[in-house]
Amino acid sequence: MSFTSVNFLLFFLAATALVQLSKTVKQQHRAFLLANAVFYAYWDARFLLLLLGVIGVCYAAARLYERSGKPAFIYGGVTACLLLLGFCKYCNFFISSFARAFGLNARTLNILLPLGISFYLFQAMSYLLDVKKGTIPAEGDFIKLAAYISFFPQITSGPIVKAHDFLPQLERLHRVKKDNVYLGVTRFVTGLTKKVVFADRIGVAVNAVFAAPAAYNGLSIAMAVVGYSLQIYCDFSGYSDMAIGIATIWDFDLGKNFNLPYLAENPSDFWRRWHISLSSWFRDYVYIPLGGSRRGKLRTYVNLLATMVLSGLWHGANATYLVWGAYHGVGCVVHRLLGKRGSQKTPWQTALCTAANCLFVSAGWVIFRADSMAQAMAVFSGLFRGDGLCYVNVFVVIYGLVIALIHLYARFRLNGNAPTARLNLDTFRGKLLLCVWVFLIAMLMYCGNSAFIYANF
Amino acid sequence: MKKNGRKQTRQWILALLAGFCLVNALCFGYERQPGWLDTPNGAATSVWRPGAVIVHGTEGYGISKVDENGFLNPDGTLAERYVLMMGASHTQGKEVSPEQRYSTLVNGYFSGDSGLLAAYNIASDGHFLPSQIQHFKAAVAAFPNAEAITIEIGSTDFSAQELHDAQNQAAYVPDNGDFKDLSPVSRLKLAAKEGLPLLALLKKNVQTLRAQAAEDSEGRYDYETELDAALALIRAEFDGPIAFVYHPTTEIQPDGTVKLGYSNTWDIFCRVCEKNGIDVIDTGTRFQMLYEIEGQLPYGFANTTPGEGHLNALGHRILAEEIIAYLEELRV
Repeated sequence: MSFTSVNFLLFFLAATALVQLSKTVKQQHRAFLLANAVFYAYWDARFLLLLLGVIGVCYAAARLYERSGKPAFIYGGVTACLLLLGFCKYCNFFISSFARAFGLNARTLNILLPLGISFYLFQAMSYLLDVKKGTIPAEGDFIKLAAYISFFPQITSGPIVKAHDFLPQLERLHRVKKDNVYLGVTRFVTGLTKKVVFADRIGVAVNAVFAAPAAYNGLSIAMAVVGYSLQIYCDFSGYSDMAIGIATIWDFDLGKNFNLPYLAENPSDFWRRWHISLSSWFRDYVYIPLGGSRRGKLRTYVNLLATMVLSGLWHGANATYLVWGAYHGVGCVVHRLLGKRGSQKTPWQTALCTAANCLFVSAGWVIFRADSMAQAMAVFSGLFRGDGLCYVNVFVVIYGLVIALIHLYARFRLNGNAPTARLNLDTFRGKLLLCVWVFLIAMLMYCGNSAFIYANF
Repeated sequence: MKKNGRKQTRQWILALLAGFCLVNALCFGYERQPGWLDTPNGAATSVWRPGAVIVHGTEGYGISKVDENGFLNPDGTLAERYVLMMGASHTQGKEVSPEQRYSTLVNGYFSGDSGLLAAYNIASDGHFLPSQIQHFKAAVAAFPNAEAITIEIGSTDFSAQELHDAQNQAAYVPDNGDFKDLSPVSRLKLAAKEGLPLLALLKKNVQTLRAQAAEDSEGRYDYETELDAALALIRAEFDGPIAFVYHPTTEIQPDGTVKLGYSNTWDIFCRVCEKNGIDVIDTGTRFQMLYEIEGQLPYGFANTTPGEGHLNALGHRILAEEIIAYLEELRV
């Protein structure tokens, strides 16, 4: 059940009615859990039991830890989550990599990747690690914990909400409030625009070039590279906006997942603006526990690199993700090595840094998008080709300009922060704007096949 | 409280209507399809409302004016003898400007600035091989002074049953598809269709979302027999030259080459055409050359994907050149 379908609209209205009719917090937890189960089962009911199993393991591990004080229970729970993730997502990758390395003829396993496993397992681990840190107590209410880990708006593509941010929100009764509806609807429609109008249209152009880079000239490939940078941003931040919008209507705060990442001046800044929930997860639960920047320069660089490689691997079992993670890790290390702390940049220096970082990130997306390193290399080498098909898709140009203008506006008027739209639907003007907006989406939307990119992770 | 509720409801209704009207107005410049009439006894399967303007911006961009017969042709009078051009959406060429359409190019070549139409385009949407066979007799009756007939096809893969059914040819009824005879309700529907392009676009979007790829036809055992009977029929109905203008698909390969996609039944089709004295113009070689020499493709636009969808201006140019060469050869 995609957020962009009519079925989802009907489901959400029914679920909202159920949530609204719940009289107590406990009743509401059951309503949330039911909605989550229905949403997940609609995608694939087979893995509902697996999700339930994960929640059960985390619940038991945290409770046992609280009673006994033995961290082994927490580590056991985290290990179980990692093993499950490793089996479902990385098993075949490691088998084939091992076989290739030793020249063996190994057979891979036929494993289906459960929907949203990377997202809900990370939420489950955040719960266990928060309990271990003492940030939150072990949850005594299984249904409440289940409602958190399986929370439907973000289960398929994030944002990854940490337990210490979300569980306290489940302690109060949630009511649909006018202000939240206005904010949530505006956020949802913003996300919808990014996804079905911007990302999907641009994706058509990008897919064509990446399918056969050898056929295109350098300009076309450069446009496809720019196009993919725009597509993945609009696709993923669009999904996040929709998830955050839905949660806002239910009076939840899922936090910020994107903050105009292409305004970043360096790789570290980029990760403070891109998929914030994932990068802060890795910061809190990997980088800082590894020692962060407290154990000397060399160790800091090693920690940075390790965190970024793991972050790359999180996206999927492919050498390209590993290389992409390492590429960003090296970028962060180099920036730390060369960056001058505390020095004020002139506007020109800032612009130059932003442009250079955009180039760095876009080159990284080529590795990320490619099926193999060989394909990535074919794209890179094609950038300098003079002959071949010349294909400049108008949507890449038009939407690229629109996105650039929004970024420039945010840079000069909003101190580099993403603008947040909120239509006042009390007024006729607000209603009219929303209606025009929705009709424009319907007019300009792309109607072909277009799954969310991050739903694959 | 109730008063405010009523006010809010009124505002929402008004906003919906005003929003729709605003975007609908924009849609006139983006995608606007005029009303049409199905013509089971006409030269083609349907005709547009004469005098209407078609704006097509979802694939390529083109603004076309419908002529007095409901087809897409330049202004002018039909010449004494002319080439009749049958086909489907590719021949209509709504994706390119009218002067880039292959029928206009062929017309320009033969009639120059005389203002006469030496090539007449009677294409309609979805008018593929079986319905072209079915409407062939009516087309010849409607345009009796045709010197030659070209039939544009992008596929020859149809079931034997479809080809069999196509042999039940439509008899021509002169007033079939006359917009003057419409009932008031039909007129109202037509006006709504033309005045609300946004609704038509939304309907199209929903249909695209629901569309499922058509399955390949099975049971080609009878294909050749049925095709033979169908082509013999159209050969018997027209004395002049008939040529199928076939344009294969193009598929860009990962290694940068382009592969031409021919129908599974292509060889049988060519054999049966030859047997019945019907010519086949295959634009495949020219398409391949276009890519290898000029680095261009005959399909696709800057707002879609290269090599896919409808013929672009280059594709139309190639079809026009091939048809002109064929007709010139006939004169010799």
